[in-house]
Amino acid sequence: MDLAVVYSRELDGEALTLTPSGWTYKNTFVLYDKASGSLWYPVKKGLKSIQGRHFGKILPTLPSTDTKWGRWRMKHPDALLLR
Amino acid sequence: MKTKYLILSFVLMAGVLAVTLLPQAAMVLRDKGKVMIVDRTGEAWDVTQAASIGFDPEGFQYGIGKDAFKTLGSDDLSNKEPFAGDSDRVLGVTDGDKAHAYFISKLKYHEIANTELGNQPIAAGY
Repeated sequence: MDLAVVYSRELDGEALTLTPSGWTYKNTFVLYDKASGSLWYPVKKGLKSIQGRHFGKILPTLPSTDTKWGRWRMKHPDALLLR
Repeated sequence: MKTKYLILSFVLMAGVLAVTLLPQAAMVLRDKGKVMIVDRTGEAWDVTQAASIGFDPEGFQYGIGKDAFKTLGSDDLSNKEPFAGDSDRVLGVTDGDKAHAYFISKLKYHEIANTELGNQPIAAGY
Protein backbone atom coordinates (compact mmCIF):
# COMPACT_ATOMS: atom_id res chain seq x y z
CA MET A 1 0.00 0.00 0.00
CA ASP A 2 1.45 3.33 -0.94
CA LEU A 3 -1.30 5.52 0.37
CA ALA A 4 -3.51 5.50 3.43
CA VAL A 5 -6.54 3.42 2.54
CA VAL A 6 -9.60 1.76 4.08
CA TYR A 7 -10.98 -1.60 2.93
CA SER A 8 -14.11 -3.49 3.79
CA ARG A 9 -13.01 -6.75 5.41
CA GLU A 10 -16.38 -8.45 5.19
CA LEU A 11 -16.67 -11.39 2.82
CA ASP A 12 -19.65 -13.71 2.40
CA GLY A 13 -20.98 -12.64 5.77
CA GLU A 14 -17.76 -13.21 7.69
CA ALA A 15 -15.28 -10.62 8.93
CA LEU A 16 -11.70 -11.33 7.96
CA THR A 17 -8.79 -10.15 10.09
CA LEU A 18 -6.05 -8.73 7.91
CA THR A 19 -2.48 -8.71 9.14
CA PRO A 20 0.86 -8.31 7.38
CA SER A 21 2.15 -11.70 6.25
CA GLY A 22 5.72 -10.54 6.70
CA TRP A 23 6.19 -10.66 2.94
CA THR A 24 6.38 -7.85 0.45
CA TYR A 25 5.90 -8.13 -3.28
CA LYS A 26 7.12 -5.24 -5.41
CA ASN A 27 7.65 -3.17 -2.27
CA THR A 28 4.04 -3.63 -1.21
CA PHE A 29 2.85 -5.49 1.86
CA VAL A 30 1.15 -8.84 1.24
CA LEU A 31 -1.68 -9.26 3.75
CA TYR A 32 -2.88 -12.43 5.42
CA ASP A 33 -6.12 -13.66 6.98
CA LYS A 34 -5.34 -16.41 9.46
CA ALA A 35 -8.84 -17.96 9.64
CA SER A 36 -9.08 -18.61 5.91
CA GLY A 37 -5.36 -18.93 5.27
CA SER A 38 -5.65 -16.42 2.45
CA LEU A 39 -3.18 -13.92 1.06
CA TRP A 40 -4.26 -10.49 -0.19
CA TYR A 41 -2.63 -7.95 -2.46
CA PRO A 42 -3.76 -4.44 -3.36
CA VAL A 43 -5.30 -3.87 -6.78
CA LYS A 44 -7.22 -0.90 -8.21
CA LYS A 45 -10.59 -1.76 -6.69
CA GLY A 46 -9.32 -2.97 -3.35
CA LEU A 47 -7.58 -6.08 -2.04
CA LYS A 48 -7.51 -9.18 -4.18
CA SER A 49 -6.98 -12.64 -2.77
CA ILE A 50 -3.98 -14.15 -4.54
CA GLN A 51 -3.88 -17.41 -2.57
CA GLY A 52 -6.12 -19.56 -0.41
CA ARG A 53 -9.81 -20.26 0.13
CA HIS A 54 -10.93 -16.86 -1.22
CA PHE A 55 -8.70 -16.92 -4.29
CA GLY A 56 -9.78 -14.31 -6.81
CA LYS A 57 -12.20 -12.47 -4.54
CA ILE A 58 -11.91 -8.76 -3.91
CA LEU A 59 -12.35 -6.74 -0.72
CA PRO A 60 -13.39 -3.30 -1.95
CA THR A 61 -11.79 0.01 -0.98
CA LEU A 62 -14.07 2.30 0.99
CA PRO A 63 -14.07 6.08 0.61
CA SER A 64 -11.83 7.84 3.12
CA THR A 65 -10.44 11.30 3.63
CA ASP A 66 -6.79 12.27 4.15
CA THR A 67 -7.22 15.34 6.32
CA LYS A 68 -6.30 17.00 9.62
CA TRP A 69 -7.74 16.00 12.96
CA GLY A 70 -9.08 19.51 13.71
CA ARG A 71 -11.03 19.61 10.47
CA TRP A 72 -12.35 16.07 10.82
CA ARG A 73 -13.66 16.43 14.36
CA MET A 74 -15.44 19.65 13.43
CA LYS A 75 -17.43 17.66 10.87
CA HIS A 76 -17.72 14.57 13.10
CA PRO A 77 -17.64 15.61 16.77
CA ASP A 78 -18.23 12.01 17.94
CA ALA A 79 -15.47 10.54 15.82
CA LEU A 80 -13.39 7.79 17.44
CA LEU A 81 -9.65 8.26 17.11
CA LEU A 82 -7.20 5.39 16.87
CA ARG A 83 -4.67 5.91 19.63
CA MET B 1 48.69 4.07 7.13
CA LYS B 2 46.20 4.30 10.02
CA THR B 3 43.71 6.32 7.95
CA LYS B 4 43.69 3.64 5.26
CA TYR B 5 42.76 0.96 7.78
CA LEU B 6 40.05 3.17 9.26
CA ILE B 7 38.50 3.75 5.86
CA LEU B 8 38.72 0.06 5.03
CA SER B 9 37.00 -1.02 8.26
CA PHE B 10 34.32 1.56 7.69
CA VAL B 11 33.67 0.28 4.18
CA LEU B 12 33.57 -3.30 5.45
CA MET B 13 31.12 -2.40 8.22
CA ALA B 14 28.91 -0.52 5.78
CA GLY B 15 28.98 -3.56 3.50
CA VAL B 16 27.95 -5.95 6.26
CA LEU B 17 25.16 -3.61 7.32
CA ALA B 18 23.89 -3.29 3.76
CA VAL B 19 23.79 -7.03 3.28
CA THR B 20 21.88 -7.74 6.48
CA LEU B 21 19.26 -5.08 5.68
CA LEU B 22 18.76 -6.21 2.10
CA PRO B 23 15.38 -7.70 1.33
CA GLN B 24 16.17 -11.36 0.93
CA ALA B 25 14.45 -13.08 -1.93
CA ALA B 26 12.28 -15.94 -0.74
CA MET B 27 13.62 -19.49 -0.53
CA VAL B 28 11.47 -21.20 -3.13
CA LEU B 29 10.50 -24.88 -2.97
CA ARG B 30 8.79 -26.67 -5.82
CA ASP B 31 7.32 -30.11 -5.35
CA LYS B 32 4.56 -32.05 -7.13
CA GLY B 33 3.16 -28.96 -8.83
CA LYS B 34 3.13 -26.89 -5.64
CA VAL B 35 5.21 -23.80 -5.13
CA MET B 36 6.13 -22.79 -1.59
CA ILE B 37 8.17 -19.93 -0.21
CA VAL B 38 9.88 -20.20 3.17
CA ASP B 39 10.23 -17.17 5.41
CA ARG B 40 12.92 -16.27 7.93
CA THR B 41 11.01 -17.93 10.76
CA GLY B 42 11.04 -21.18 8.82
CA GLU B 43 7.35 -21.08 7.94
CA ALA B 44 6.42 -22.32 4.47
CA TRP B 45 3.78 -20.43 2.49
CA ASP B 46 1.90 -22.01 -0.41
CA VAL B 47 1.95 -19.59 -3.36
CA THR B 48 0.89 -22.01 -6.10
CA GLN B 49 -2.26 -20.06 -6.95
CA ALA B 50 -0.42 -16.74 -6.80
CA ALA B 51 2.18 -18.08 -9.21
CA SER B 52 -0.61 -19.15 -11.57
CA ILE B 53 -1.78 -15.53 -11.88
CA GLY B 54 1.65 -14.10 -12.51
CA PHE B 55 3.25 -13.63 -9.10
CA ASP B 56 6.90 -14.64 -9.38
CA PRO B 57 7.74 -16.74 -6.27
CA GLU B 58 11.22 -15.22 -6.28
CA GLY B 59 9.60 -11.78 -6.10
CA PHE B 60 8.35 -12.23 -2.56
CA GLN B 61 10.77 -10.45 -0.27
CA TYR B 62 11.66 -10.02 3.40
CA GLY B 63 9.55 -12.87 4.80
CA ILE B 64 10.03 -11.64 8.35
CA GLY B 65 7.11 -13.73 9.61
CA LYS B 66 3.44 -13.10 10.30
CA ASP B 67 3.97 -12.03 13.91
CA ALA B 68 6.49 -9.30 13.10
CA PHE B 69 3.95 -6.49 13.37
CA LYS B 70 1.51 -5.57 16.06
CA THR B 71 -1.87 -4.91 14.51
CA LEU B 72 -4.42 -2.55 15.93
CA GLY B 73 -8.06 -3.17 16.69
CA SER B 74 -11.25 -1.69 18.13
CA ASP B 75 -9.71 -1.51 21.61
CA ASP B 76 -7.37 1.14 20.24
CA LEU B 77 -10.24 3.45 19.25
CA SER B 78 -11.20 6.16 21.71
CA ASN B 79 -13.16 9.35 22.04
CA LYS B 80 -11.57 10.33 25.34
CA GLU B 81 -9.70 13.59 25.96
CA PRO B 82 -7.93 14.89 22.89
CA PHE B 83 -4.47 13.38 22.51
CA ALA B 84 -4.18 14.61 18.95
CA GLY B 85 -3.28 18.06 17.71
CA ASP B 86 -5.66 19.77 15.33
CA SER B 87 -3.04 19.78 12.60
CA ASP B 88 -2.13 16.10 12.95
CA ARG B 89 -2.68 14.30 9.68
CA VAL B 90 -5.40 11.64 9.91
CA LEU B 91 -7.30 9.31 7.64
CA GLY B 92 -11.00 9.90 8.22
CA VAL B 93 -13.71 7.38 7.37
CA THR B 94 -17.46 7.56 7.91
CA ASP B 95 -20.53 5.55 7.02
CA GLY B 96 -22.69 8.64 7.29
CA ASP B 97 -23.45 7.90 10.94
CA LYS B 98 -20.28 6.76 12.73
CA ALA B 99 -16.85 8.22 12.05
CA HIS B 100 -13.27 7.15 12.76
CA ALA B 101 -9.94 8.90 12.38
CA TYR B 102 -6.58 7.12 12.07
CA PHE B 103 -3.25 8.85 12.55
CA ILE B 104 -1.47 8.45 9.23
CA SER B 105 1.83 8.19 11.11
CA LYS B 106 0.50 5.31 13.21
CA LEU B 107 -0.83 3.44 10.20
CA LYS B 108 2.58 3.75 8.57
CA TYR B 109 4.19 2.09 11.57
CA HIS B 110 1.62 -0.59 12.44
CA GLU B 111 0.41 -1.02 8.90
CA ILE B 112 -3.09 -2.36 9.61
CA ALA B 113 -5.99 -1.62 11.97
CA ASN B 114 -8.99 -3.99 12.00
CA THR B 115 -12.06 -2.29 13.43
CA GLU B 116 -15.83 -1.96 13.03
CA LEU B 117 -17.36 1.23 11.68
CA GLY B 118 -20.89 0.84 12.99
CA ASN B 119 -21.68 -2.67 11.74
CA GLN B 120 -19.15 -2.62 8.94
CA PRO B 121 -15.86 -4.43 9.55
CA ILE B 122 -13.07 -2.36 8.05
CA ALA B 123 -9.32 -2.43 7.75
CA ALA B 124 -7.29 0.78 7.62
CA GLY B 125 -3.77 0.65 6.37
CA TYR B 126 -1.00 2.42 4.62
